[in-house]
Amino acid sequence: MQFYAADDAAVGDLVAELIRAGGFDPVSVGGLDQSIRIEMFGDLHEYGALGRVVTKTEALKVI
Amino acid sequence: MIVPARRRLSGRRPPWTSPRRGDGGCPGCTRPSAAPDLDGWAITERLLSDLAPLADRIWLVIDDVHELGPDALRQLELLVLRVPPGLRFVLATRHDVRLGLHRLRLEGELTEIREPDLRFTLAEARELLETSGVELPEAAVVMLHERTEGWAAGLRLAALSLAGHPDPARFAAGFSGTDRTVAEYLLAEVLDRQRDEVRRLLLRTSILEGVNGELADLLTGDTGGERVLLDLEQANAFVISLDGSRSWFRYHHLFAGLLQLELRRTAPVEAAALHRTAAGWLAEHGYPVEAIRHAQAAGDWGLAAGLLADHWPGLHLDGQAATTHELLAGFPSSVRAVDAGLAAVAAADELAYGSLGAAERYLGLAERGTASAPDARRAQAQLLVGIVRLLVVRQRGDLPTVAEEVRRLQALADAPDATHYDLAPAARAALGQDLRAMALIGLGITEVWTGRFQEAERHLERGVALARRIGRPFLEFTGLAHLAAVEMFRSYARAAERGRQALELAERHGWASDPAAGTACMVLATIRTWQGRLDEAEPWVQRAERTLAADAQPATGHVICYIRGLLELARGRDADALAALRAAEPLARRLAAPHYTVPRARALPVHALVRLGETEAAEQALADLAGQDRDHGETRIATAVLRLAQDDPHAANFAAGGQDFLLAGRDQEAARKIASDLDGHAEVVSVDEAVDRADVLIIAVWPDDFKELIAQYGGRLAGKVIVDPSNPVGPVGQGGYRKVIGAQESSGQILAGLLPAGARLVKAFGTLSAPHPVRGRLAGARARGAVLRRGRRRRRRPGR
Repeated sequence: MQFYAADDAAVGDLVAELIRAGGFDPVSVGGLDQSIRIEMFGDLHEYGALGRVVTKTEALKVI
Repeated sequence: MIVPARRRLSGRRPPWTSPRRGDGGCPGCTRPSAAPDLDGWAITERLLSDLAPLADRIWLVIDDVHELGPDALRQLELLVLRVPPGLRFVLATRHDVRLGLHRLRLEGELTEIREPDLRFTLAEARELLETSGVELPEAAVVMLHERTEGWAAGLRLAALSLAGHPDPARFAAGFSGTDRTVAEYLLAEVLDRQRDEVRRLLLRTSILEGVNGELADLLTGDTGGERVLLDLEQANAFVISLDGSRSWFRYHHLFAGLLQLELRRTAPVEAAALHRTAAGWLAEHGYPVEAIRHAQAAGDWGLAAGLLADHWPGLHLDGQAATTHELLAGFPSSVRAVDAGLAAVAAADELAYGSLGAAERYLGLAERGTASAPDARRAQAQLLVGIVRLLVVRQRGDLPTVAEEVRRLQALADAPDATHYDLAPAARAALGQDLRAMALIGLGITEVWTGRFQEAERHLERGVALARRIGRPFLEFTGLAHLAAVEMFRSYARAAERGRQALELAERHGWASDPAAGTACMVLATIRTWQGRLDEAEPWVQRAERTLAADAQPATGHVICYIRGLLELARGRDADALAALRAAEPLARRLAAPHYTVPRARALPVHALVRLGETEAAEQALADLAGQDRDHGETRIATAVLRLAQDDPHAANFAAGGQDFLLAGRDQEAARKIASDLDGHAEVVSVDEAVDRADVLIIAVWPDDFKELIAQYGGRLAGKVIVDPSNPVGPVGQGGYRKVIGAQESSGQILAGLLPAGARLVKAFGTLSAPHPVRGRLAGARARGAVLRRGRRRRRRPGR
C-alpha cells in the first residue's frame, strides 16, 4: 500500500496507476494540503505517528 | 627594605651619608667621626643655620636610618621639619622607624616608597639582566624573577654570578638561596644579625612552607615563636605574613633555601625528626596534604601511607585528583604495591592519569592486600577498595557490577558500624552522606551510559541534591554533567542549562579538564550539531576533546569520538567523520555493556562510506555489525542509505510490474548498471532527455535539490506531472533526522508553489518501508515514462 496526495483527480489517477505498476495498492489521502500527513513525522508516515508500514485495509481506516 | 642595589643601578651616585650602628647621631655632619664628643642637638642647630641661606635645591640621602638610636632619630626629625624648602631628604631604612613625619604626610610633602614599589617587575628584571650583559631565555628570566620574588639585590647577585657563566640557563634553573653570592649576602646581612634563639627558630622551621607560632614552638621546643615571627616580619627580614591576621608566615624563597642548607649543614640528623613532628601537627590540625608531604620527607612511609589512605576519600570528593597524583608520586613504587590502602589510591589515580588496565591491576593488589592488612587498617582499606571499585567498574559501563558496588557502599553508609570503621559519630554521619551521594551518582552515570535514562535521572537528581546539601561541589558537578546528557533527549534548553551549571562549577574549582567537564561540553556540542549550528558546535567538541583520557575512561572517550564523527558528517567532511568513528570502536570494545552511543557510532560509518562512494566497504561495515546493533534504528537508516545508493527501489518495482520507463541520473554508469538488471524495462537517458520525453517525472532527491531542478528546467516542466517523494528532513544523528522546515509546513505544498504554470504535483512514493530519500537521489517516471534519479555527487542518470 502507498499513499498519494494530488489536487487534480486525473493526475492523481495517473500516479495511482504507477503505484499499482510498482506492485502497491494506491490510497489517496486527498489534496496537496494533506501531503504533510505522508511526509516524515506526518501521522500517515512510517516514521511519524503510524510507526510502521500498514496494509490497504488498515490505511483506509486511518485516513 | 633593602635598597642600595637598586639605587646603584641608576648610575648616578647621590651624596651618601650612612650613620654607623650605635652612633650617637650627626646624620648631616660631613665629618661625623672627627668630633665624637659633639652634642647631636648642637650639630643639628648649627646645620640648620648653615643651610638656611641655601638657594639651590639640594637632595640629602641618608641610608640605613634603621641603625639610628632614639636621640638621633629625634634630631633627624627636627632637621627634616625645619630645613629650608629647597632641601629634600631621601631616607632609606630596612623597616619603619619612629620619625614624627605624619604632619608632612598630611601636607602631601612625604613620598613613601615601600617594598611592593621596590620589587622589580618581570620587565625590570629582564632589563637588569640585559644591562648586565646576561642573555637568558624567557623561561629562565621568569624563573629567576620568581625565585628572587623581584628582590633587587637578589637579582643583582644573580646577574653578577651569571655574567660569564658557561651555561646561564642551567644556572638560572638552579639558582637559589644556596648560591654562594646570595648565601653570603643573606648570612651576613640577615641571619648572622639574629639572636641565637631566633636563628634556631629560623633553621628548624625552614622545612615548612608555612609556619605559625604554635608550630614554631613545637619544632624549637621553645616558646614565644609567634613574637619572633612578628618581629622578623616587622623588620623586613625576609619573613612574609600569609594572612590578614598575621598568624601564618613564610620565608622569602631565597632565604628559605639558605636556611634549609644551613640546617643540613649544622644539624643533619634532625631534619627527619622535624619533618615527622610537623607531619603530626599538620595532620591533627586539618592540613592532611602538607602532613603527608612532611611524612614523606621524613621517610616515614607507614605514616605517609596511613595519612593518604585516611584522607583520600576527602581529596577525591573534592576533585583533588592532581594533588593525589603528586602525593602518590612521592612514594617509592615498592611501598605503593604492598600497602592495600595506597594501592587502592593508586588505582583511582590511574583512572585520572593512566589507564583502566593499570587501575584494575592496582585494584587487584589492593583487594589482596586488604585480606592480609592488620586489623586496625583493614576496615579502612575495605572502604577505600569499595569506593575505588565503584569508580573502576563504572568506566566499563558494567551496570550489574556497579549496582552491586552501590549496594555495598549504601549498606556501609546506612549502618557504619563503629567497630567496622573507627570514626567519631559526626565524622561517621558525614562519611555516610558522602558515600550515599557517591553511590547515587555512580549508579546514575552507569544508567546514562547504558541508556536507562529514567532511572539515571532519578538517581542523578537525588545525588546532586544531596551533594549540594552536604557541600560536595565535585559530586554535584559530576552529577549535573551527566544529568545534562539525560536531558539532551528531551529538552535542549534544560540540557544546555545543566551543562552550563556543571561547567560553571568546573571553572570555579579548577576541574575544567576533568572527564565530567568533557561530558558537559559533549552535551553542548551535540545540541548545536542537532540544531545544525555546526560552527558553534566545533569549540565545544574541541573542549571535550581536551579532557579526553580515553585509556582510562573509555565510556566518556567513546561519546566524544562519536560527537566528533557526527559533527564532521553533518559538515560533509566524510573522511574525517570516518576517522573519528573508527577511533571510537576500540573504546566500544572495552565496555562491558552496550553503551547508548555504541550502535549509533557503528552505523554512522556506513553513511560516511556511502557518501565517499565506497559502497562495498559500506556493505562490509554493515555485515560486520552484530545482531543487537543490526536492529538499532540508526543501523536500519544506514542500511536504507546504502540500498538506495546501490539500487533504485522505484525502478526495480516498476520493472517487476512490467512498466517501461526512462532512468536518469548524473552518474550514467551507475544508471546503466541498475538498468541492466531490469530486463530491458529501463532506458538510460540524460536528465535533459528525460525531462523532454517523460510525461510523469518522479524526482527522488532532497527538497533543496528539487528546488534547484525546478529553477533549472522552469518552463520545460509545463504540462508534466511531477511526483514528489521528498521528505523535508536532514540527517543529524540520534535516530537520524529532523524536520528542516516549519512543523506545520509540508515539502509537497512548498514545491508545488514553485512549479511553473501547467506543471502539476502529486505527493507519493515517500513512505516506502526503506523510505528515506537519500541525499543526491532523484527518481522520476510516467506511465510510459521516466524515473529521474540523481546519483552520488549529483551525477544524474536517466533510463526507460
